[in-house]
Amino acid sequence: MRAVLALLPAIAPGAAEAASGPFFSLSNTNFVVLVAFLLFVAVLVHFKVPGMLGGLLDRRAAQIRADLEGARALRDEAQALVATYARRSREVKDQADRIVARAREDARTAAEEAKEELRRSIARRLADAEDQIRAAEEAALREVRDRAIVVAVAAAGDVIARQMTPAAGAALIDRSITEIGQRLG
Amino acid sequence: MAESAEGEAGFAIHPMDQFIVRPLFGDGPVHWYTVTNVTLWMALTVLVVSLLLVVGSRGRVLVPSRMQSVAELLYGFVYKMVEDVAGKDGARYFPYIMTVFCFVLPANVLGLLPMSFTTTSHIAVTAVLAVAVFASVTAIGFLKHGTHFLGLFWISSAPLPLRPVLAVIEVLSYFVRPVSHSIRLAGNMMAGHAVIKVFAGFAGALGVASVFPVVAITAVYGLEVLVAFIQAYVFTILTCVYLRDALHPSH
Repeated sequence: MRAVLALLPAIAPGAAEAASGPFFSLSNTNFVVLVAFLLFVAVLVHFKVPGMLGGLLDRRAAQIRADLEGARALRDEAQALVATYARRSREVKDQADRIVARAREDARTAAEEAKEELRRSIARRLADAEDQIRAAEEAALREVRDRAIVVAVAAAGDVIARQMTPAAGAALIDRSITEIGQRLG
Repeated sequence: MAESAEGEAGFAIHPMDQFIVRPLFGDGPVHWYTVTNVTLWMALTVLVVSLLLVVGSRGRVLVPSRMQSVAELLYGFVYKMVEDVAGKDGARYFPYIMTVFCFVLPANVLGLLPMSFTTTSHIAVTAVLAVAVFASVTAIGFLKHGTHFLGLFWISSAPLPLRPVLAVIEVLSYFVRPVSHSIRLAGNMMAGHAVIKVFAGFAGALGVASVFPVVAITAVYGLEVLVAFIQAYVFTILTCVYLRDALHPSH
């Protein structure tokens, strides 16, 4: 270790010498390395390595751009689809609203009609009942009258039969015969 | 050996000179507060990462620019690594691992520039990183599991007589972790740069034939680019592995 340390100052002046010497000389290792480096770069350029690397990077950029385009197209498509479905859903909702409104309207008219019908039928029945009552009254009156006539006739018969003697009867028959004769004559 | 190298004119190879820490301004001893070439290149590393991640992705546009794409890829890469290796609950520690990767990778890559200074080739630097990882992972393990964390060393699936032996081995390997963690990165970075400099040293003596070392350095450069990325990756994925051990100590 100490030997190496001791050597260091011995090497250092040599290095300084090499650095301060003429640069464009084959004895200057820095110059030789520079030449070789330039040759290496020239070889790379000759085989179009930088162009290839640049092409790779450009292709990557193009790929990313294409991917982005694809993604954007997909998103647009999806958005269009969403819009379609939203419109369709709105339409269906409108339709449903209309159906509900119509059904409500129908129900209301039906209810009104039914009410009207009921009122009419009640009125009709009322009229029928009144007719029946009236007919019953008339029938009753007629019966009462008939019965009265029957009773009156019977009573008159009774009275006449009680007052009638055979002579009076014969006289009455004679008078009736004459009367009929006069009437017919 | 240095003497003999100096003896042959123009064949003085100093492959390790590039790793010497020097004051950036003036000359003299290096104190802890001295601004050195290490400071400069660390600052450049931070600058590069900031440029990439802050300025490069400033637009935050949906379709990324090239710079933003690089930043996104970096982020996604590290995030996926953390999630895959350390598990879903390891993603909480993603910022730390992202920071480690975002320091090591640009430091390695910047080190490839000629005349630059490779900060990650110094064990002093990588050891700080590795010890920080070691300490925080150990702390997480004990805070999350208490003494159950020690189950990491007691392999209950092994036969009972073997367990104490295995425990010793496990404890040893656990404490060797920061050493191997730091030396792996620093050694790889240093070796490659040293090889480049050695080849460069040949060039001065070979005249026209120096085209061979130059071509060789070019080839090594290709290798070094790989090493720079792979070592940054390895350093980071090992951090994830250690984190997983801390989060799920039972094997």
